[in-house]
Amino acid sequence: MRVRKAVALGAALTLTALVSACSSGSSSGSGSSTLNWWTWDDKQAAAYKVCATDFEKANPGVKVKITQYNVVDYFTKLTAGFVAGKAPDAFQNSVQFFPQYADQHQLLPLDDYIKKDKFDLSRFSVGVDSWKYTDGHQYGLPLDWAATGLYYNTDMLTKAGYSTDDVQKLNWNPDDGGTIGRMIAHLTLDTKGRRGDQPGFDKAHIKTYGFGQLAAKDFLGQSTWSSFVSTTGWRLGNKANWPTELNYNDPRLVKTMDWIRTLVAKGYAPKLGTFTNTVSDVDLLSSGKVAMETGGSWTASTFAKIPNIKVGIGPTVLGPDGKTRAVFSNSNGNTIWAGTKDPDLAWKWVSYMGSEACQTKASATGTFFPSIPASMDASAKALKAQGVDLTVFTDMLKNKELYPSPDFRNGAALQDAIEPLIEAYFGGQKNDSVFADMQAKTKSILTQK
Amino acid sequence: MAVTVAPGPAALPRRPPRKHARRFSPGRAVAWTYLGGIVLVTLFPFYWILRTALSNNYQLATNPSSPLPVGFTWGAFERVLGIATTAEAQAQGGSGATLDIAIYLRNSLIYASVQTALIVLLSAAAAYAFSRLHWRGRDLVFNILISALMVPSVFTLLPNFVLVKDLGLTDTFAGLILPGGLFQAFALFFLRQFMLGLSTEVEEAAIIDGAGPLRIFLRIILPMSAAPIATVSLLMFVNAWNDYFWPLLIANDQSVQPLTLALGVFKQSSPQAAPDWAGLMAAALIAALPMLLLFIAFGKRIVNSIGFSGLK
Repeated sequence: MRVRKAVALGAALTLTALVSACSSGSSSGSGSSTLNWWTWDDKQAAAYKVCATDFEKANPGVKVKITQYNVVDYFTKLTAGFVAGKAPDAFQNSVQFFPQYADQHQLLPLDDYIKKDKFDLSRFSVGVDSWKYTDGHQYGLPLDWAATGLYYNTDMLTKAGYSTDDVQKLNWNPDDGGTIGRMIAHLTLDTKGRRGDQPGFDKAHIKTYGFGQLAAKDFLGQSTWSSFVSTTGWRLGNKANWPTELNYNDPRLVKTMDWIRTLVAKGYAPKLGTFTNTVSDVDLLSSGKVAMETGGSWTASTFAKIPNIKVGIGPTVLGPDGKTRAVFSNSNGNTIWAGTKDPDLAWKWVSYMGSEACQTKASATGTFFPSIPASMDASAKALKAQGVDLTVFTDMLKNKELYPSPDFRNGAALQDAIEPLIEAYFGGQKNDSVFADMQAKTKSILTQK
Repeated sequence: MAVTVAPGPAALPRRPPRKHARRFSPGRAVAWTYLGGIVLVTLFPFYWILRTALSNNYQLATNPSSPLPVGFTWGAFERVLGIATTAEAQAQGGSGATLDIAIYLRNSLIYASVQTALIVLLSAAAAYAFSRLHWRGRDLVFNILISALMVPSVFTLLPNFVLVKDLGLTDTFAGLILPGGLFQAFALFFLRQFMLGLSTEVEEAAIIDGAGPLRIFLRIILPMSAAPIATVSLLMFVNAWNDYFWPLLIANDQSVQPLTLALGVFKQSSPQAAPDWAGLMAAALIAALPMLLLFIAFGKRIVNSIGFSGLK
C-alpha cells in the first residue's frame, strides 16, 4: 500500500511540476512592459534602483527589473540567454566581451537612435570610443570610468617617517625604483621590527610588505604593473584601438617585470601565491599585511568604511622623467540586446541611464565614477561629505593623465593564453624569454577572426 | 513466505571484562589521538564558516586570523534571509543584493524532490527490467545505457541545453528537472546491482500465486529494495539540491531559480572587488542546513543501507 501511495505521490508531483512549468513559461513570455537590465555589480544594482524608480514614474506601465549575477557567472548567463532567446533587454557590458557579442550580432547598433534623439555623445568625458566597433557602429554608452591610485596605511607611513605629501610626487624608474623604490624598502617590516633597508633585515619572516601584490597573473596589469610601465610611454597595444599585437616583449615592460621580480626577491612585495587569488586589495591593506598598494578607484569608498585603519590615497607614480604620469582607464558600457522585444523602450532606458539626472543620483554612493563630468563633480562632492577624497582621481581626469584601455578581439582567449605565462614568469619557471612568446601569442589570437 | 532463517552462531563469545576495555595502551592512545585529529580537521572549516558568517564584513578585513567572530553581528544572516535593508547590508560591508529566500527555498524543494521522485521511480522500474525480467538483448541494452556513466556531464550539457531551449522549456521547472530526472545511470546501476542479488524464491512464489510483472515489481521488489532506494533518494536529493550550473543556464526567472543560484549573488561581484565574505558564508550555511538536517535524521539509515545486502 505504501508503495502505491509513494508512486501516486511521485506521479502527482511530476504532473504538478509540468503544469506549473507550463504556466510559468507562458507568463514570462509575455509582459513586454517589463524591462530587464542586468549588471554584475551588486552595488551598482542597488545604486541604479533610484533611476529605475524615476523612470517608472515618468513612464507609467513600465517596470524596470534590475538583476545582478556575480561576475564569474554573468557572461555565461548572458551567452546562455542569447542562445535561449532570454537575454535581458539591456545590460552592463565589459569591453572584454564587447567585440565577440558585436560579431555575433547580439548587440543593437545605437546610431539611429542617437541620431533621432539628437543624443549628444560629447556629454561623456571618457569611454565613448571604447564602445564603437570596427564596423563603425556605436553599440554602447559608457556607464563609468575607473582609474588606479596608490592606497597606503597612513599610520605605517607616518611611523616610517614619511608625510602624506611625500606620496603625492613619488617617481619611479625600472633601474633602481626611484623614490617609491626607496619608500617601499623602508615601509617593509620583518617580524622583529627591522625595516627592509636596515641591516639584519630578514626577508624570510615578513610582517608587513612595503608594497602589495605586484607579482600577479593579471594580464592587463591594471591594478599591478600598468601604472608603472605606462609612465615610460609604453602602451599595451601596438595601436590605440583594435591592436594586432600586444607589446609584452617591449624592453620597457620586460625591465619593469624584472624590477618587480627583484622587489619580490628582496621580500618587499609578496610572492605569487603568498596570498590566494580571492584575497582582495582591500583585505591586504586592511589586515596590515601590506603598507601600500596600487588599487582601483572603485575601492576608495570601501576603504573609508573599514574601522580602525586610516587609508590615504595618492596618485600613481611619475615616470623616469619625473613628470609623466599615465594611468590605464577602462569604461564599462550599457548595451542593448539585439533580440529585445521592445528596442524603443530599451533605448529609452539606456539613454535615460546615460543622462546627467540619473548618473548624478546613482553615483552619489560613490560605488562607481560616472562618465559625465557634471555628475562626477556631484559624486565627488557627495563623497567628500562622507570623508572620501577623490581629488586624486578627478585630477587625473582633468590633467589628461588617463588613457583608455584598447578594445581588442578574443579577450577571453587572450586572457587564458597569457595569464599562465605571467604566472610561470613570476613563479620562476620562465625567464625573460617568455615575453617574446607572449607577444607572439597575442599576435595569433588578436588576428584570429 | 518461505524465508529460511540462517541459524545463529551457537554461542556468543563472552564479552571481555570492562576493565580490559578501559586499560591504557599506546596503540589505543594513538588511535584516539588520530581520531581526534581527524574530527578536528573535519569540523574546523565548519567552525570557520560560522565564525566568518557572524562577523562584520568591513571589520573582518582588519583581523583576518582572529579565531572569534570579528565585530559580532547577525547582519550576514539577516542579509541572506532578506530581512536586512540594502542600506543596512551595505553599512556592514555586505552585498547590496537582496533576495526573497522563501521563493528560492520553495523552488529548490520542488526541483530537488520532483527530480528525486522521478529518478527513483524510473530507475527502479528500469533496474527491475534489467535484473529480474528476461528478454533478448537485455544485457546489451543495459551495457549501452550504463556506458552513459562514462560520459562526463559537460558533454551532455550543451545538447541538453539546446534540446530544452528548442522545446521552449527554459525558465520552467520541466526544463530544470527533466534532463536530470529521466535518466541517471548511477541510480539505475546501483538499484540493478541490488535487485540482482534478491532471492528468486519470493518472486517465484508470487508467480505461482498469479502475480504479473507489474504486481511483482510494486508489491515485492520495491518493498524489498526499500533500503537502497532510500540511499539513492538521499544521494539524488543532495545532488539536485547542490546543483548550480544547470539551473544557471536554464533559469532566468526568479520564479524557478533554486536557492543555490540565488545565493550566488554573494560571490565576488566584480573581479577586483572584495566579496561579501560574511554573507557568502552565511549563505553557504543556510543552503547546507537542510542537507545537514537530512543527514542527522537519516544518517543511520544511510550507513546501514550501504552495508545492507538483503536476503542471501
